[in-house]
Amino acid sequence: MTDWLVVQVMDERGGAVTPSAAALEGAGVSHALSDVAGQGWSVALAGVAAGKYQLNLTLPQRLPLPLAVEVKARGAGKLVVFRGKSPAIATLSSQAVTAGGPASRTLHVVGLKLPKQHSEVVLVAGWDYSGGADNTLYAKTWRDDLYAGQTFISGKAAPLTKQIHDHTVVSLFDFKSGQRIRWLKARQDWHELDRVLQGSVPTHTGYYKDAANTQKRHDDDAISIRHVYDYIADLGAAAPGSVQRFDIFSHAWAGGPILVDTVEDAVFAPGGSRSTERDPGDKDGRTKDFSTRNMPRRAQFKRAFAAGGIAKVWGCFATTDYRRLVRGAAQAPNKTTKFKVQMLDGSEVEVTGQQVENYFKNSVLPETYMAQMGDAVSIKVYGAPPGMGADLRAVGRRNYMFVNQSDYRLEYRWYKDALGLAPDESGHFPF
Amino acid sequence: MLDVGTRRLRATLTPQQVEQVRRSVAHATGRDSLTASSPPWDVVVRLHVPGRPPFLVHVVGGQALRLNAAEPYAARAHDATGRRLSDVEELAVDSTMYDLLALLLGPPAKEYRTPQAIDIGQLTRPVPDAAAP
Repeated sequence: MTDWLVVQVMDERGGAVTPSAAALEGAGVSHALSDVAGQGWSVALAGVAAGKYQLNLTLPQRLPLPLAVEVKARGAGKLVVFRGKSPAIATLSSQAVTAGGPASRTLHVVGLKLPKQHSEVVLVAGWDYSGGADNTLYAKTWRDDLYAGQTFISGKAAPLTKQIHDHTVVSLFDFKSGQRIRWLKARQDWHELDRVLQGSVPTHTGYYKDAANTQKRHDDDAISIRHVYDYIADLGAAAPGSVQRFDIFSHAWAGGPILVDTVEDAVFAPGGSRSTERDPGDKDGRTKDFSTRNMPRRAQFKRAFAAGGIAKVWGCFATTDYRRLVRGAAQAPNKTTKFKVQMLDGSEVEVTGQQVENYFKNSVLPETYMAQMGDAVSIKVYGAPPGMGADLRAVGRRNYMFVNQSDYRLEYRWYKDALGLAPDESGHFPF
Repeated sequence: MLDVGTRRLRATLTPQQVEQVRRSVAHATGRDSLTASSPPWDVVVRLHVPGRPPFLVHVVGGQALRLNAAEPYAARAHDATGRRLSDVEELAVDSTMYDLLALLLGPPAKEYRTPQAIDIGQLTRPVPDAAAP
């Protein structure tokens, strides 16, 4: 009796999906599966050592799918099991094929049910260099909520559009560890597909105010927003229309998400001779990222997103001057009465509510990272309203990042009345 | 004012500035929700109140002072999960202290800054008369 691993993939209508390649890949070894007549994509386990492997499947219209499996010895033979939790889309069965004599086989069949259209949610967790929050927790809670179709972000249960299904691949770029982690939903919990270091070294997490540490973070070949952009562009090339959501949980500012707080080299910083170009050592997101020069694969990046796809920058937009302008305008008796606002640089401006409204409409909002991405990709991109900080909250075992609509009541009222912007369930609004 | 990293004295407020700060405590104009933000500066301010031992506060955003009784030099208000630390209290104030620190220490952390200086001309551009032809 010989043991074989067999892979069978079906689409949502029960039609067979044929891989273009399949292999069991372990530390330094690869065992290719081949299309065995009458049996399908298979490999004899006799030649495969017991141990941990990725069952890598190359399927149409998606990136290679790496299922985490283990080959185990069982008596004189072998079998295959999933490592960790089994994916909900997968079945594992063993079938004895009794043709008699030495030809008898046991087929260990991994069955997968995958819709033709790939679906993916991309999450980013920045390193909380100053506060010590574990931003992966906020990303994972959001992942769980998107699967459950329910959120507790306000403190009590509320419905949420279900955007993660059993077949959805969830990718998390963790900027503290420097890894990209991918999951499929398991029957309970999640099946970890893989965990891949981005760049060649983990993020250097030395004290954030030390200039030498900041420089090392800049210079290291470590995880960068460019890895995230490239991954999404890869999805755009292989699986157009697959990205349902792109959520970034991190510190943020008017200039974009702050993922490890790198400082641009002077030549690339505002006022530098190459200020419109991305600094190759920079790891954070910047408003200039979406030009064709800085994102040569912009067309693929755009193609990755599903119709109705959403991106969201969850962190702060706590710009002091913007908040003072909004509060001034909100407290003015009407749009034409002048009021004075003290700016952060010590200057004082005298403006009307109408001028503040025009300034936000024509300058502040269009220049944000969110608006720049939205323009480039033609999707809705959410972010914290200008002038507002983000809060953290634990609700039981769930962890949320949100903008406090109670603390910023006055500002929200102004944004709604003046600009027609209303917040979503977490207090962010579309740019 | 003490540096968080070295814990060395960086500046001392004048009696007039102290009086401004004292008055600001009674003039809170709004709240900030900034538990997910970096502190504007890497400093704590040591306050001396008659009849009490000196205590350290972090200036958090424009309108709050944060006291961390357990770890006075730590600016965080939450643990890794987002759960509020029980030893942390916040006091709503007006922007006096924040503006004083901006004057003494220069621009705050970038969370609080505009990407470039605000174009005042753009901000104060005359509003077109809606009734004009």
